[in-house]
Amino acid sequence: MNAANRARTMIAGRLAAAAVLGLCAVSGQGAAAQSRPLEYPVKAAFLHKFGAFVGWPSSALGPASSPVVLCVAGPDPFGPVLEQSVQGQKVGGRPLRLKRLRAVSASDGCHILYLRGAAVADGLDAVRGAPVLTVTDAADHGQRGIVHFVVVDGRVRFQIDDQAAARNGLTVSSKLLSLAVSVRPRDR
Amino acid sequence: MSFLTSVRFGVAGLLLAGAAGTPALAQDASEAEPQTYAELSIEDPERLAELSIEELANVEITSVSKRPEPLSTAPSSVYVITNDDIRRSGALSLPEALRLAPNLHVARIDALDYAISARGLNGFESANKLLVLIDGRSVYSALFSGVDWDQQHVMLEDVERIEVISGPGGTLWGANAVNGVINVITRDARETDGLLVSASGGSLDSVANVRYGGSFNGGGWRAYVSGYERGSLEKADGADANDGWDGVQAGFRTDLSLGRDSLTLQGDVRDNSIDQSIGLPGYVRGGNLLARWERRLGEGSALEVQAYYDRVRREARGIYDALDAFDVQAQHAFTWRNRHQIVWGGGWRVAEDDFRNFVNGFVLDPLSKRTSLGNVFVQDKIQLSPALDLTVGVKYEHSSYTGADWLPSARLSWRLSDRSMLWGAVSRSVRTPSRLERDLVFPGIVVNGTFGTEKLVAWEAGWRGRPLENLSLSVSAFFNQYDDLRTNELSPGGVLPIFLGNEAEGETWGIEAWGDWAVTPNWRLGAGFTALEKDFRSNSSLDVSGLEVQGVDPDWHASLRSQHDIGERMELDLRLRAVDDTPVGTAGGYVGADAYAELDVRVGWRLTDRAELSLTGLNLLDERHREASENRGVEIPRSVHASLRWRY
Repeated sequence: MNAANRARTMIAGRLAAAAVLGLCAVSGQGAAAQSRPLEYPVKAAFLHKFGAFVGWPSSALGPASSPVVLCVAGPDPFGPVLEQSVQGQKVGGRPLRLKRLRAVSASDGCHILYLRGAAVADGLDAVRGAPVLTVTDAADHGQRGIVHFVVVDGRVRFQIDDQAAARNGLTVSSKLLSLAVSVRPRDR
Repeated sequence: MSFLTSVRFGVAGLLLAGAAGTPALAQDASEAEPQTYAELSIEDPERLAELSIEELANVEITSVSKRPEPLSTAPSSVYVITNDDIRRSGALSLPEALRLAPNLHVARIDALDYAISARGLNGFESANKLLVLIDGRSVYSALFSGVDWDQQHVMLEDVERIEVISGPGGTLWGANAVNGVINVITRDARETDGLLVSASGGSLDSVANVRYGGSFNGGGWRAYVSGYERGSLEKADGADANDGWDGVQAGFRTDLSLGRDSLTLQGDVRDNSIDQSIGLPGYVRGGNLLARWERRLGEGSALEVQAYYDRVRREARGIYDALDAFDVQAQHAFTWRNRHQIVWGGGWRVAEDDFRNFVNGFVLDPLSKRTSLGNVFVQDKIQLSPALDLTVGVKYEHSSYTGADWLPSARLSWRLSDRSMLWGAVSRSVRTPSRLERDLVFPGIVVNGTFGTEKLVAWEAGWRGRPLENLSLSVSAFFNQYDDLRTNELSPGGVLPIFLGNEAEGETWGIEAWGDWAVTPNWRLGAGFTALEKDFRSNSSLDVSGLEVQGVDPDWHASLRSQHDIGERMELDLRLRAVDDTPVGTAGGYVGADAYAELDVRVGWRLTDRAELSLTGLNLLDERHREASENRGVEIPRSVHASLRWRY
């Protein structure tokens, strides 16, 4: 009996048991992961699109010709897709540069930072208060950055922690906030 | 033609008068891909970079066959109204939100009725060629061929997007998708978690909504209740037109994924009162229940089955009508030899009606009847080369009145670069007769049973591109050849009774263009323009309706829009629209409407991140203005309203 059938049978058997629910969530996720050929290509495209909807302090961006730096730290789920995706892209007229990091420090010059796996906790700490848009992934079940990818109804969406954005000195456009599945508001 | 005008207000009027009605019956509509973004594959990850961020958020990543087609590659004229666009427009009803689509002409006739059409033939009697679906459920009436816009309430906060396709969609959607298709798509229940309360009130319309959503393992649910009041419009001298009405609607939606299966169940009930309609008591009550099941079969293959029941009871303006429709459809999508993306399926719809007229002698014979419409279809999207896709398809449809019809289409899309594409299409669509068109009688004056299918062959081409990172443009041109359009014929010798014939024909041609420019991350501009020309005639026929079927269309309409975020908490939205003269036409009973320009302004504040307050002024440039050529003597006044939206 494959995972999907098992999950279905269990649900038919009794939805109420928490253990069963846990199981079908796990098996459902496994099945879904296999059939999501576009999940990471879409996430890669989001990573550079976010730049157009986020405001950095001008001191963080440097002169008009200096690049916006997109960093990826932790186990890399993208492979070559990310390079293809950012190739030739611009953010607000600035070139986009991709950096893959082993460990994150505030001096890396990242503007957008995608964190995975073990890099999440340290990475978030390292740039706390610095003008960096941190991006995490629900696939990790760990701490959350400013933007947190989730998959809803077969689509890549995200949650936004606007309070954390405020702490890092960033503004998030209402357009992006309106696309978020949920928003944790910033304090006034 | 006095009999025509005598019933002009009622549904019977519609019918007869122009013999024409609004979009035609029902039918089937719904079909196949309720979600139109659909279906081009995105084999190439780099092409994702071309999508706007909203499109990206709508790319389905789970199944190959249902991969949403990015708007930039759909070989048709599609405009998408997003949830955010609706919020920032200050619109309080679905037809008002449709004004955002540059490829639609929206004319408000009175507090109850609208005439809405794409590519012309607009008017209360003639706007019968636009198919409208709400979450895959056709709201095109099988009784009178048209959409009762007063019955179509949706909670706009929970609308994901509205896709407006101008041009025929018969191969996928079936009969009556002649001039266009509107798909209203509400949010998946998993995306509407928590409590949302919104209230809008002002000088004309008011709406109050409460929605609560929750989640369970693998799924989500929501339930809402919505109350609304549409204020009375005004007579030309400023007197109250006494046509206001109000209603309440409640509904739910639940979405659930179980491994490779997805299930949606949703429904609504409503009770509108139209007491002030010409001094007679009136109401609209109804409801619907829809279930959709989808199974992914792996490797680009998916099966979808949908069924719904829809019920309406309406008594207004001296006419009672009842309609019960049951609709079931199934489709299977798969990839064959890598280069073919095939969708095939079928559907069956049964509708049973009851119609009573208390204002004059028009009745339906028989008073109550069951009609049906069935279809099968197949469509293949063939990748001819990496840049060239050909989509060919055909639908076979069988209606109880007119028998078989074939609805073929061929569409070609050619990607010129990563940022632009050309497309072209030729398709055939039909509008099938409605119950009223087929069975309405008035002893000695009107006889029934003669009206057949109206036909269209449409030629279209367009270009769409993103010449700059922050600029997107779309231009389409069309040439429509209509045949066998409805006429009102006198019996031989030029005497009564009148019967409905198919003796009119004609051509329309025009362009649709729009663009969107993100000037800065906080400032967005949009513009749209549509122009239309037409030439209609009736063959060997007097057509006592005066060629009403051709509609009353302005030569052009245009809009400009600005969405500005000021600081972190304030939004300023401006929308200017201009519509050329709406003609008197050659049919009797029309008075025309002068060209007009109107300005809408909205100022929004995020009070906290859970609460938003906005002030909206609509139609600010004139104290009142007329939009429709119909002689209701009603004009739309300047209005203001305040809205508060709170979510937790």
